[in-house]
Amino acid sequence: MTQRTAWQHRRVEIKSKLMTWVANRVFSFKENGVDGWLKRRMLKPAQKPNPSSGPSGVRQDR
Amino acid sequence: MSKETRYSVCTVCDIGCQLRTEAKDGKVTRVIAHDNPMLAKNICFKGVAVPQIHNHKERIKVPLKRVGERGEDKWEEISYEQAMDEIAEKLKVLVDEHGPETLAVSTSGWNTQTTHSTDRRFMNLLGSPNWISGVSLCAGNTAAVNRLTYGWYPMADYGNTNCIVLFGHNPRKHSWTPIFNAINAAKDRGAKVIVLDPRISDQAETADLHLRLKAGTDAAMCLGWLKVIFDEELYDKEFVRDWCVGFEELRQRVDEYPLERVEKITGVDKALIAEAARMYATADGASIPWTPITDQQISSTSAIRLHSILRAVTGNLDVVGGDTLGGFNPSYIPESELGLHEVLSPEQKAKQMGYDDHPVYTYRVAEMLKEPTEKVWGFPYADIVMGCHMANPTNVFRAMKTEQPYPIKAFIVLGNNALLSYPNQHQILEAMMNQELIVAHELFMTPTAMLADYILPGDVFTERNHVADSWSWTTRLTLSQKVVEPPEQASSTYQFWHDLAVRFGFGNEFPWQSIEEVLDHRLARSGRTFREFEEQGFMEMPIPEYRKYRKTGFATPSGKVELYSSILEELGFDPLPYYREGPATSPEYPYMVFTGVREDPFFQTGQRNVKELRDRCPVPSVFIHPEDATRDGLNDGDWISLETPHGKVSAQLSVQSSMKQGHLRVPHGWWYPEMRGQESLAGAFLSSDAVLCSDDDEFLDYEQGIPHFKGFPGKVVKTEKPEHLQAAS
Repeated sequence: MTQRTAWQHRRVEIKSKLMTWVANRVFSFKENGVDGWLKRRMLKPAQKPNPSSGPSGVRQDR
Repeated sequence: MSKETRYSVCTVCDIGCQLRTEAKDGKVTRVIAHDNPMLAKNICFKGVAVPQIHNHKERIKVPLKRVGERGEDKWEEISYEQAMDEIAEKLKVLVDEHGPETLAVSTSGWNTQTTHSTDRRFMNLLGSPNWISGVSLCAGNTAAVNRLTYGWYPMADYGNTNCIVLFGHNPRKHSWTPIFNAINAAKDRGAKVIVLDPRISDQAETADLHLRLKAGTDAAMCLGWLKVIFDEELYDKEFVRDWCVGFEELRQRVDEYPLERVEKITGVDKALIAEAARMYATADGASIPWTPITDQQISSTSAIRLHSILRAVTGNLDVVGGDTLGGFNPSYIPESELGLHEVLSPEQKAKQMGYDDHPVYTYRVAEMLKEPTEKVWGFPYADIVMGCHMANPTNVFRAMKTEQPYPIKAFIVLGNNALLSYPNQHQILEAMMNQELIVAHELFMTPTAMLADYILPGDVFTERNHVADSWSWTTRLTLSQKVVEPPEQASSTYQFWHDLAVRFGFGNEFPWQSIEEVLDHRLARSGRTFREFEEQGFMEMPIPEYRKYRKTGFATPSGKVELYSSILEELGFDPLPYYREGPATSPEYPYMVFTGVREDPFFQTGQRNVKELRDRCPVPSVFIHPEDATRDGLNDGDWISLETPHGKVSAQLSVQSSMKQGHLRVPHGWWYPEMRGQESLAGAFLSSDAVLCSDDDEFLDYEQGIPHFKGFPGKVVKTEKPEHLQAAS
């Protein structure tokens, strides 16, 4: 952390802001325009639940 | 009727996973994963069980009035209007006799409740400062303590971090699920994970470093890390020079904790302590996320402050990949404003329980932070995670029991099983038995509700609209849509407070006729109504600003990070962090007991009546190390009596090699809904961890007055399976 220069701070901050902007588009209900285009580009179709990805029946002791 | 599908924020627990809820013919039929792949993994089996919870046959659907002795569990059904009229009438008499501070309220931010500030609004208009919540032991108190140091309460930037430090925290697939998924995603990117936990927890098993410290020694460990970081000059000198006060004083305090001393206190090899400190301090973006463990210790204030200090001196505060300072969404009126804290007079604020002796999360500190808070936030009372203007629960229950320093004679509990939710359960029972009015707003007949005079049926998240703002922890707004109507006689907490306010002549201050009107009001700053918000999307986040302090300074009296706390100094406490030894073991009580542990199928004291969840964990299990069990002649599956100098409970023993020797782990919040009518208060005193822990002054954290749940002496004795459990099984 202590090695990050001012320029490096700036670079990662801009990247993070850009990603938040993109995320907001992806979280909208719009299907057209930039929002729809980004969703079609970025998101895989939702997977149907399967036993390995769904809630398990195994008791969780920890 | 057609099938409905809506977007929901689950409030079965406090995490707030985004899900979809399906309903048919006016009943919730299924809860399924979000259709956005980025959120689809955030679902656990508690969320999946929502139809069983919300449609449960034992759900309270009609207002009830006590007809037997308090706690006898005898009721008559009455109308909502009659209940509200009688509650208002009785409360007015008590307020006239004892003053408005005679009312105490205990609540949660989930279950039947999503907006706590309407509690505060009514109470502030009435004149009572005595609001308590489980967040005094979990996250809310952490928020208040964080504010002492830098005025904010940060959130780990999981999406960008390169190092995650988990102090006893153990997010799993079915507990803290989104955090579990975020940690896994960070690991996939190559982030390191450091776990500090007496047990070999799930997170510890796969961590890069695991430090098996003794329970309750977090503060000493942090002081050891700082010793390494300062001695090896791994701190951010520029940030410390420009933005911190009290560095030299802190350094002197840290020098009192050489690694040899820290090794002795924590039981962790000093070389490993140093390696972990270096890993954290040299990562390019490192996070110390909130943990429920550090919240609940005798040196909790110091330990939480030490987390804050580590973040600051290593330059991880409000930077990408570090711990970011979120706070209040400018588009949404925060609960801090909705609560009308400014209308409560200074005289009434000073009557808040805990104000004098344990003030850190009370109005006393809130008043001291008013000016810097206004400078940074634009309003004077910043209530983050509900935790920054609370009364102290122990003081409240003492006053309810003893009527000193003044009588508290009216107690309203909303979605909160208060009897089992705070330490010293026997005192809480005595306190409740000494009340003249108890009102429970609940879904089920909990032991706390059984002690009430009136029970009002509450609603649930599938029955109300909401825009969740993570209680101002982050700036994210998430949509939660109503998918079914609540039971006819059920009320939202807003409706309850609105209707009580009207009866007290405060109707003008509760002008909104529905939850949707409240949401319209809260969204007005963004020029939208709730209907317009819900048409746009299911979540929105303002573009983040980093290193915001460069514009505003920090919301502390100095405007800087206070390594040396001016507020603690003014209050007469040690302004520097320290380690304080917890209660010691003895030949009679040889084990270190840690309580308050969450089990996956349940949240707090809830869901023991939901078969689908109870089947996963039918009885409470106390964990013990194999060598300890062998020495004491105990076997896996034995029934034991766990005893402390303060109380005893029954549980089943689970022998686990993942446990640290000499430690016992006790799950939180057990009672037995199936024993209603057979066992007093449905077995509330048989297995509840709140029975075990003292809240005598010597066991309380000085500054907050919270108890030491993580490491107090106890013993186990083999016993037969208790009769009441044999009958129930």
